[in-house]
Amino acid sequence: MMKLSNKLLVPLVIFFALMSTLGIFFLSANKTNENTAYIYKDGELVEEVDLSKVDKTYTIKVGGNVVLVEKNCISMKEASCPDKLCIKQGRITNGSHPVVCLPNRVVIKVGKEDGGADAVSGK
Amino acid sequence: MRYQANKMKLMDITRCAVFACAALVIFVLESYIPPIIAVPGVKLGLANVVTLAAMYVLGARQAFFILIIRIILGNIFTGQAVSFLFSVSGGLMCYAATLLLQPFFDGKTIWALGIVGALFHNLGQLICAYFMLGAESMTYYALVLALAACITGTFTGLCAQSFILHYNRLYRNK
Repeated sequence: MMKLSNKLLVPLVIFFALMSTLGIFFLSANKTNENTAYIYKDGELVEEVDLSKVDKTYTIKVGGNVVLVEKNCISMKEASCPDKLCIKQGRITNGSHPVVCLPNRVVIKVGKEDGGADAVSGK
Repeated sequence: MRYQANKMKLMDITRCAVFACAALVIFVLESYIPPIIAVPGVKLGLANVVTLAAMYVLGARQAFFILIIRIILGNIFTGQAVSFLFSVSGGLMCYAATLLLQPFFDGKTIWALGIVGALFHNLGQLICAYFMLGAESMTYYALVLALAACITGTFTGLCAQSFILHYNRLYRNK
């Protein structure tokens, strides 16, 4: 079998890593006028919040997690999962990436409308 | 003659057991390292060093069993309810990709196979997350995981490469 050489592999890997980094920057900088936050638990929509209409901050309890809703941003305040990564993900204001609690299966996403190309699956 | 055959089998089994133990210990210890980035699924993946090394040094079948043992026992010792599914999907994708691409990498290029394994591990976990969470904004996480896989895959691949090199020199007179 033909063995690939390092002369090919090293540039290839560096290129791939660079492309990924660029992609991350482009996605993060994507600021569109999306203001509705959707909260999913176990793949199902449980809450829908219009962030631009929020006057005072409040919290929503989703299973073992507590979601903090503020003017134009949303974040995870408390979580019953062991790693607490969802809290460290901080606030999101646009749809570039969601806040995800994997063990409790909670997803907070800011977007225009529900679903679109990705159908919500599961029960 | 029969004694020799049985002795070889015993040595084979013992080697597999030692590798499986190493993989298990590495997996458990790694689970205690606090996450460095707030993205679920970004970790060093050190247990893959053992799988990769076993693939070259022991054989594909043995490497598969070592992987299964590490996934099952490792998740019994450290996991929550969700982590087992993610471990299985990640581990199996990683193994399949490594197995298929193994003929293309040898000697000084094994580190790249480590990256491939890490990439497919993350891909398997993304697919699992798709089915469990409903696929919202996956592209961002896919890119972050791809980048992380490049970095961690290089590290684990280099570890495995070094191990394979020295193992072959010591035990196979290569």
